[in-house]
Amino acid sequence: MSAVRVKDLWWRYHTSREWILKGVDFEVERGEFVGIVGPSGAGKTTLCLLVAGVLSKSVKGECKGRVELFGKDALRTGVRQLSEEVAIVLQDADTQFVTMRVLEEVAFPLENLGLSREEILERVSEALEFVGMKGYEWKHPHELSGGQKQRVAIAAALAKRPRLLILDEATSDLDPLGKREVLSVVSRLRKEYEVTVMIVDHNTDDLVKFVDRVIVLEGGRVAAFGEPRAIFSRIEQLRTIGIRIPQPTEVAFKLGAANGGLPLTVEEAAKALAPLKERLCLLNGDAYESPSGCERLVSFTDVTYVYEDGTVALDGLSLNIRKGEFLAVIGPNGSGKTTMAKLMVSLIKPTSGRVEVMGADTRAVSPTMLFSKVGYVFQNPDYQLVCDTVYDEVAFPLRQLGLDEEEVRERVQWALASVGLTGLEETPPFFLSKGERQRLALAIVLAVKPQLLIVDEPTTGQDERNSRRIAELLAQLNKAGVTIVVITHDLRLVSEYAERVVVLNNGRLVTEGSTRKVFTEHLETLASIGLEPPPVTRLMKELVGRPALTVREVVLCERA
Amino acid sequence: MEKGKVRTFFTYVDERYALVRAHPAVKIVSLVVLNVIPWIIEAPVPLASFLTSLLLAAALLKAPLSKLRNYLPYLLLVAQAVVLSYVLGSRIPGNAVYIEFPWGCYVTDRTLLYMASVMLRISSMLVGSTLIFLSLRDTDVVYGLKSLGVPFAAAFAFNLALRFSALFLDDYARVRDAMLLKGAKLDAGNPLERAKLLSRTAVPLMVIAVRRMQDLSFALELKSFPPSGKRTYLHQFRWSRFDVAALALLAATTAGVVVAKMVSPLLSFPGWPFA
Repeated sequence: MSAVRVKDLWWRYHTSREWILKGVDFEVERGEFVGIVGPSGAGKTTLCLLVAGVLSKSVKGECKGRVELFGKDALRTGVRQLSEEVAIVLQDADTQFVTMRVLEEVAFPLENLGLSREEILERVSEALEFVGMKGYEWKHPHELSGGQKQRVAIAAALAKRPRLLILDEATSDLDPLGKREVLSVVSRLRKEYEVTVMIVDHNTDDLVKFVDRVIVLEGGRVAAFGEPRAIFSRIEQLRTIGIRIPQPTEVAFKLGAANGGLPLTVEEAAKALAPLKERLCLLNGDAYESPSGCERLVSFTDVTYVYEDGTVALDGLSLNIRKGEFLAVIGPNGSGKTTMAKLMVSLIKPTSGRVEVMGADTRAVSPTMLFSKVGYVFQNPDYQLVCDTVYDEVAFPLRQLGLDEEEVRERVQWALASVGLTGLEETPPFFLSKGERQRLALAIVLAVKPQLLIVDEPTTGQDERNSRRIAELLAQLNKAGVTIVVITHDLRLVSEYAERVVVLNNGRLVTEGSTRKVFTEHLETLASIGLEPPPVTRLMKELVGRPALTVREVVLCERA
Repeated sequence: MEKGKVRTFFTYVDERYALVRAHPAVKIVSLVVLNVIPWIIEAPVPLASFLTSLLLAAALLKAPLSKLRNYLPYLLLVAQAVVLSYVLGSRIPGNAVYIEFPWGCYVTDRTLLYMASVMLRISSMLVGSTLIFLSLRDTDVVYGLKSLGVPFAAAFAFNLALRFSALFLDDYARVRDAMLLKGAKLDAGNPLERAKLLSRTAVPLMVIAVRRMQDLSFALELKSFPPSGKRTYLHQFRWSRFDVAALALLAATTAGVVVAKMVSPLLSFPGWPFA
């Protein structure tokens, strides 16, 4: 008997005429680990919630077809009954925390199931041990990093001993180490407890290492379903859909090394490319020189920042950011990246030390005094949207600047055109898709024409097409003279676009330098804090002894 | 987190604060009593004595009194509203009339006493509730209400409201930050303009809250909530001597205040026999 059987499933919300799912068919075997990929709006979350049996009972909508969960009709069986079989971990870890301590969070579903106190304690202890969170029992959600919160959410799911675990973009907010930790915990879970796992993730580089089969969703339909190697061999089709291709697969495809199927991992690619080793050479793309002579825009001098609860977010940070740079700030969750950004826009003041932005000590200036020079785009665009229409939203800061309506109109049109939102001026911002809202947040800041643009996690939770669109836009702005500081966990984005990298850990500067230098000479340092350069970097290091930053470099060298 | 600190709903407090370790039922009963007594007492002098005793008791229990400073601006705002409404809009007869307005309202000695009473009542309730909330954890709400006979689902819903109010405050801070970064002058200038700007924060806050609620309802359902059968509980709270003494004191104080109100004019307005 299969774990999940979905037959001709259709779903639409009662507010919409459009079907979100249009005849989805697939079957997942017991103990299988299945990945679900697809662009934003493909219906991934809707599918997960329908399989878990909650959507059709909690939200008004029309549903056709059949979902069977271990033989039960998931669309008609009560959620209470299904909840003993299935557990789901969602993207927003905070929302899932329904209590205020780790111990109580993991125990909560067990208490609801009426287990004895002894059994609850035993299962909680086992689940926390399994996810590596033993010792954190009395911690509050505020005291945990994003990765730790998700591991607690998994422990809470695991403690119920479900037969099916669904992770809906549960790892998208995590740093690379957190992501790998969660995936390996899930992988172990599946091996040791024979749990069936379904996971939605945009990051195919990691996904392919763990999953047995992949479902590709596009426009509410299953575009492909099969083993990862078969799926990712359809490179052109996946590119058209907008799915990220694992880098080792991409390199092998471009070099024509597909004997017996395309490789999925660095190890497989190294084997597949070994016959071509002699012909491989890399284009030395390191033309970047630190612009030491250029004007200094921001300087941190021995900056420490301590939060109210005593957490030291930054600890003696000294750093300069120069005009015209494209700088990436990377580091694990909780390393101080966002604190650094908040100090640059004067939202918070240093506990000690000095932050200067364009010559002004941030202690002496307010955020409203800096906003015309320094733009800050939040990770979650929804915090930035306060007006009734897209036009008013972009015009808002310009009106605060006191510009006349003619100039406001010109700048709004320019900013919307820059981010590809022309024609949506009269649309309410919250009617836009997540990718569009992210670009709108960028347009709001762009319209002010800041000299320095700080972007916090611009590609988190975005599909490949949106991620690339945002990254290209940032690169264009940088070429036009805007200094860019991007805070990100997406090291592929860093290696393709950033000229310089700053690595933080525990509030301290671990290393900094040109992207090539950091990803070439500091691999051990990066590894020590759980950061791994993109697969192509490691692959080329293994094959030719020198790392490449992008797939393009490898292909160019081979052709040359 | 600093050593010796305990995280409660909204902040970190010193674990030496005796109420933190109290039985959840004691905290819930204290919260009710400290909000009921100021409603029974009418006169300003007994209200002032009650507030003073409350602060003294809090100091003895090692309550973090310095945290009360954070609520001073709210208290001042309320005080401002009370003063304005009594001065400009009341007609309370008294022994002496200090000011008369063309629209028929006037200020007498009794007006000032009423004003003082209302302000002391609000202050007592605010200080009392804050001191209890500083010690309150989510388990306290659920276990406290449950031990007082409230069904688990209702107790947990109340607890969730508090849990999400903490998240709501975080969201508000972020939206406010975003507004500042868009040049909105929220801290300076015309109060009407500032209020108008602040009202805009309602849009994202509402949208984020609705999305959260949807996710939360899915998460709760899949955590088998509400329980259909008999629910069990992880924690077992034992009654200590302190808890028993605290409950006895709360009961005695409430009874004393009720009896005093019924048999003597001391607690009734204006609170002295020569009135």
